[in-house]
Amino acid sequence: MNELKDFSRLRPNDEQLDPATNERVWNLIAEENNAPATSRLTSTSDDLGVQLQLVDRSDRTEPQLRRRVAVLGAAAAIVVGMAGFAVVSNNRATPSSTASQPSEIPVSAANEPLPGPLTSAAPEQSDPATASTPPTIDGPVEQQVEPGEPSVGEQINYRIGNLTGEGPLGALGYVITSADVQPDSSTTITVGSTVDGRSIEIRMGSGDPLQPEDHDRVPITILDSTELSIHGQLDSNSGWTFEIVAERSSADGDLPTSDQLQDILYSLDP
Amino acid sequence: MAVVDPNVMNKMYRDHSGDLFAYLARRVGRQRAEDLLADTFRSAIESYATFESGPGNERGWLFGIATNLVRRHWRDEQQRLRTLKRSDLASRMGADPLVGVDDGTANRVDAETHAALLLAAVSELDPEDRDLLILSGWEHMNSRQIGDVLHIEPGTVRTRLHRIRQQLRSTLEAKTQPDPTTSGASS
Repeated sequence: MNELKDFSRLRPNDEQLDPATNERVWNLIAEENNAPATSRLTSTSDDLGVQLQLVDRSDRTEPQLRRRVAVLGAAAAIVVGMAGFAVVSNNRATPSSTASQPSEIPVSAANEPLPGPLTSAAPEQSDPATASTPPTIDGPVEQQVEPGEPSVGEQINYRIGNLTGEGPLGALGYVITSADVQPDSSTTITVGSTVDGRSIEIRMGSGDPLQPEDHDRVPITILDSTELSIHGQLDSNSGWTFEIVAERSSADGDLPTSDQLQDILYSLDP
Repeated sequence: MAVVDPNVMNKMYRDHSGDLFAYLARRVGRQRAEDLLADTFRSAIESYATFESGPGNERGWLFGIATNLVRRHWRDEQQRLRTLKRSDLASRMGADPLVGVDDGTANRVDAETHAALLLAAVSELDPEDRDLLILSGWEHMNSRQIGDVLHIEPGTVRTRLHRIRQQLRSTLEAKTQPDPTTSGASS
């Protein structure tokens, strides 16, 4: 019996946030921030309800402003440096033609939009048609996720999808019997023995890559080992986190060793 | 005074309101969850100046705010844990072959009882332990993500989970021991 596993089975289903509730809650948030004394967000009526107004950029708090100025300064310095380098390179490459073409490279470089904050700050204009209904807003954001970038769940799904049939896991005498893939959090994978009734639960998630270039394996850490169960964890060099639990039951024999658990995890993160 | 770009907050709301609402509703029920969802974003707006942005940080930050708010509504959560339908619990526990509810009514009752006792044991946990257990078991967060929410190290999360499991086990064992006074009276 695993109390943690039993408790996770009792998880109530997701309550969906329907559009009407979503809008009502968003309106609550916006209305509450109508008073300038609280968050400086104000609301105005439009055809759908409430719209957040833009905050005057000169009104930012000092640390934010200082950070923004520092980033802008760094970006400007890079552009100026590149322009200067281009001028010097141009002068060295064509010393006789500098009089006729001195400004071409610097001018084009100066006209390039600055990377980062300047380009993202420019479109931060309020669009009443979109700002009023949060679920449909596609307003500008400062940190856009690149389109097509797979979620953690998709990455795990892809990874374990390749482990069916013969392979490292199959060679160990196990197959994946179930996987509860979550889009942005850890996935619970159950592997079952092809020899006896043993079932092993693995929780796989995304962590911080430790040393991606280090191909040495990180050994498993056994957190708890009793006559009835063994519980280990492993944070791989490539950034996956694993927790693995095997329990003794009437349907199987001795508990797997730490090396066997480690081999199972290695098969998931080859 | 905190000042937040409405576009940024708007995107945060779009990205996380669904998950946050589901989390809150699981803990305190749908009706209370609406209020707490709004409270979460109000608090987020007010404390935005302290937020350290980074990939993936938003989720942990918002769940941390929501978790703190839930603690103020402990009675609601306790009530919810008690009122989860027993029959529903039994069917969920029936997925465990060790419980074996297919064997008959007696086992089904056992599964219901086990589930009810387990939820009662969870409701008796220390609030921080309960938060940790729910984030792990119901929100499927790993040790690092839970650490981000509760501001503790991933290793501490794992250690505490192990301790919570032992605590639940001993509580359940104590609850399932036959009461000598009761058994004596009935015999």
